[in-house]
Amino acid sequence: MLERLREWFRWFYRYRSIRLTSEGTRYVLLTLAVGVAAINTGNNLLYLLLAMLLSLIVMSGLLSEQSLKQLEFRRRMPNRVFANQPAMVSLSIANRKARVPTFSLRVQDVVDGAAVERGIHLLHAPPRSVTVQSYPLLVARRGLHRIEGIKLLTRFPFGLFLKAATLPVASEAVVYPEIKPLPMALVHDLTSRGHDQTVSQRGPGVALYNLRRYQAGDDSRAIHWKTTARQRRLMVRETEAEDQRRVVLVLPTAVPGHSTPVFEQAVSLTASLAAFFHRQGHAIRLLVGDQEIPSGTGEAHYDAVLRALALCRPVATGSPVPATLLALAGQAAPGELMLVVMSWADPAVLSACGATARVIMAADYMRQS
Amino acid sequence: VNLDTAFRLSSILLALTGFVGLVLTGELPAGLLLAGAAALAAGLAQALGYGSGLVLFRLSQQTWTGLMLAAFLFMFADLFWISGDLLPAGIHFLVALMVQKLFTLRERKDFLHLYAISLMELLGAAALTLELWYAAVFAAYLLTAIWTLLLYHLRSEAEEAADTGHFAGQSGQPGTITSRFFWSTNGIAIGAFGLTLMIFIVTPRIGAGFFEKNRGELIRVSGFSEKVDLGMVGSVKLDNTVVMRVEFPDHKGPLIERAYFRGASYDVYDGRSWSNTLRDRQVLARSPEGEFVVARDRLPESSAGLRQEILVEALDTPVLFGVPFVESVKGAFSVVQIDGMGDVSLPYVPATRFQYSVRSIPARFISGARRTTRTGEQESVRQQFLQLPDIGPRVAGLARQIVQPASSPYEMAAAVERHLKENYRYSLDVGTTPTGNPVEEFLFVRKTGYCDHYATAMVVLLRTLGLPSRLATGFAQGEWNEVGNYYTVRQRDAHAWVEVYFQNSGWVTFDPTPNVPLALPHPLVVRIGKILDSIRLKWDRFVIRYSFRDQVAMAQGVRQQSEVVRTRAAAGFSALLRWGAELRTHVARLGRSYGGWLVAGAALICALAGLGLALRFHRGAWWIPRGAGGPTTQQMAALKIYSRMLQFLRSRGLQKASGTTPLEFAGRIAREWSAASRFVTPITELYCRVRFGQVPLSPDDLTRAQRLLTDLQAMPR
Repeated sequence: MLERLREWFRWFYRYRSIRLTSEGTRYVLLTLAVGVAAINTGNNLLYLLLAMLLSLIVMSGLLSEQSLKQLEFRRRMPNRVFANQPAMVSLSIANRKARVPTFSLRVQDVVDGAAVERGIHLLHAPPRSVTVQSYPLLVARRGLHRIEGIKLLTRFPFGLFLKAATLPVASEAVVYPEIKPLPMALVHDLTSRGHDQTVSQRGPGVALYNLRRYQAGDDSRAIHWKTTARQRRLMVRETEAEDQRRVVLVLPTAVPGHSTPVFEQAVSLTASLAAFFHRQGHAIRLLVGDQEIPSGTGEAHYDAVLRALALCRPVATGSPVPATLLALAGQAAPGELMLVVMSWADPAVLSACGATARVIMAADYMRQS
Repeated sequence: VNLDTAFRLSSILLALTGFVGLVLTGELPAGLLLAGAAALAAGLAQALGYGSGLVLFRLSQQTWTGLMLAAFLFMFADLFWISGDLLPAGIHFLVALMVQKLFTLRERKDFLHLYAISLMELLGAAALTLELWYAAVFAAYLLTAIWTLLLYHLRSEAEEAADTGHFAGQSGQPGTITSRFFWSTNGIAIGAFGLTLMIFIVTPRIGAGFFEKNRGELIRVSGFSEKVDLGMVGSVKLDNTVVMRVEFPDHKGPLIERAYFRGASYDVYDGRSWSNTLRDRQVLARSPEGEFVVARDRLPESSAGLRQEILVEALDTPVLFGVPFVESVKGAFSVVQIDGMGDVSLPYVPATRFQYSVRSIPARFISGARRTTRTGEQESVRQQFLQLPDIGPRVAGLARQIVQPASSPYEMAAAVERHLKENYRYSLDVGTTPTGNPVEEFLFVRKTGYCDHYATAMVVLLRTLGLPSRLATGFAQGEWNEVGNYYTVRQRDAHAWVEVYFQNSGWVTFDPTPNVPLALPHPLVVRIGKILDSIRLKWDRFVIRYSFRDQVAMAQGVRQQSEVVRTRAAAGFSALLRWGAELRTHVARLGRSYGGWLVAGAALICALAGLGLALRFHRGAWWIPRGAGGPTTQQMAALKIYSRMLQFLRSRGLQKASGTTPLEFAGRIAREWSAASRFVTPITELYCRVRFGQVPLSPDDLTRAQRLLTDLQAMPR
């Protein structure tokens, strides 16, 4: 029974807490002084004043509770969150009370059990109103970032007490690795290599690649009318992709002992390379440890690549080299650039794909950037 | 009103309320009163935006510090040499602080200091007064304090948000005082007031009173010292100061007989003044119930006597008043004394307002003794109360002449009383320094006077006839207050009358002074005065005199009431159970017959029909909660208007298909009946705002929509 009671208090304290402000402390001391004076003199007018001061304390509790009631929160996380880059989170605050406004509300996020100040200070939310607030979210580390809830703080109505309430409004975001600008030498190197390995493919462009029969779903603007007239059937024109290159990014995850910071650098460099090639329009294939993201383009694919990088974990050295890595040697397709980003000179990896791939030591390049 | 202006204004008003409290105590010297008033006026002007004209008063911080230091030092001079008391000296310093703060209100802490000073002023006023005006000041202070603290908080939050660069929210701060804000704040104040009263009632009264000190002027009353001069009552006959209020808990209306509140009595008259020679006092015994009993054997066990609740103002006398003759006294005192004349008093002058209860057995003459010719008084009484000063033979002659046909002592006394009432004129316009014997002057020369003269003359006349008698002083019944069901006794009701001793009856009251109607102000003024006085009595009874004893009584009352409620609830519940059992028996009996099933079925159908009707008249389904999400009355009205419009259009051949949106339908109306479009389109827009936008509607919107519908219905097609 006692344990249950203690549990209840623990729960209650977690979701509701109240503490005195500096003004409140002075107010309480003054109230105590008036109480002493009333008891000492037996003067009922002093008791009346004491009752007034106490009633303001009670009213303070009631009104602040009323102010925190019937509030609804919806948090919208940004589509992409990169480590160490601010991203805007929007929070809609709805006051569902029919007649009572809410005043002086501070809103904080609860992350890992601790309240994080977001700088949201709602001075007035009229009844039946919705307010949308945005705030920058800055996360230092890649991976899954979970916001457990919302902590509301109010000093309404008289600023005597700071009342806090915690609401379970959870949100999650996968924080992508930090994207850093690549060193100029590396950019130049990668650009020139890329041009050497261009192969012609169909895709958006101007030069003619092929003429073929019209198929349902083809863009009518692509119909080649002269050929159509000549062959008496609908023919469409295909163009050659102007810059269609492919890249394979390899990130071995085996890291010796205490090299986690170096691994993080390698992850960040891989993500930066992915961002670079994505901007260049390359099809990107990613190998992270034993996980493989097949080659592809587009925003969804880019997100899949970043997500894989965000969630990858280092493994201890001595683990067997993943089969995907072993299979890399001789697998590079024509026009495909293979880059292996290494956090350390792993001989197993080097022997597996050192001959066909370009090896980038993360530590060297991250220092330059 | 702008929020900032409202904040400054309420802060000044809070200071003003505290200051008014101090001013009304009458303890502030004129100089400080003027300085405080000027500072408040300046603060008010500044709050209202006229601050530019006050440059003259802007002193440097150093100057203010110097002035405050001087004021602080002066407080000690005030304490030791001028006021001689800490409270007035402290209050004077407090006003100086308030003046300084009002002229230097800049930062948030300055405002907080001002609030603390105003609260101190209210505390000071509480220590200096018990008057009813404090209730008004207190209520005003509470209201202003709620406004001020709320506005202070909102302003601080806005400033903090601006300072820290926080997002202040889309809705931002309410920039002006809206009517909703105004009424909400006043509502909070009313709630706080109610809560204050509740807390006041339940807070245990454990007054220790270590340093309690009474303040304020005592009301000077005359006629109750050990020796009083003739004519002492005349000096207060025009004084309207209230000296006491008397309730008779067992009587709902005024007493049939004139009530006298006896204070003192005198046995020896030396020709100019009366004195009490039996002034040796004895302490009265206290009963287990806390009553000080004057003479237990005189109070029949079965009789409760005439009960009085007397609230006496701070008088300069220790005398305890009561309807003659007092049998027992109960109050918050530890000792009550009685002297040889039967006068009840405290051993000290209480010097404060206090309340006590009295039980009296009104003196009545036992009719069997009315006709007896045998005086037969005890010798001691005869010696004590037949003393006469040096008077001429004319007085004795007049006495014999007056009582000529009377045969018994009672008839003689009554004859003298009647003679004085009928043959002498009541007047306050009497010389203060009579040249000869005052009684003879009154009886034979002036033939005018007031109660002192009448009563003294009667005592002298009776004593010449051998009837033991004495002079009694106190107050005549005063003014009946029908609003509060009590008597208000004022200084002008001070009175002197006569007590005559009869062997079988003891002392009996006679009043030879004729009743003179007072010149009263307008009845409305009297009525208002009575209402105010009644409120004042209640204030005193339920606030100033509220005590632990009241709390215990209240708790007992609540317990008794809860017992009653519990008993009734139990009785009701058992009746319900009994009724249920009877119904079940009845239904079972019906079930045995064929017709029973028909009756039960009909009852079921009726119940279902009733439920259906109830749901039909209910605006929405009963399981859908009302309030936050539901439409308001005005929104419901807007929906009804749209529905009526559709009904009208249908009657004109324009039916809205179920798949058509309101705006599409309005477009169709514009094409097919363009003249109606100017009515249909605005009503549709209003409907869309309500139906889909959940926008609150103003009464103007509704009136306009109603007018549009009326105009539409008037159109021919």
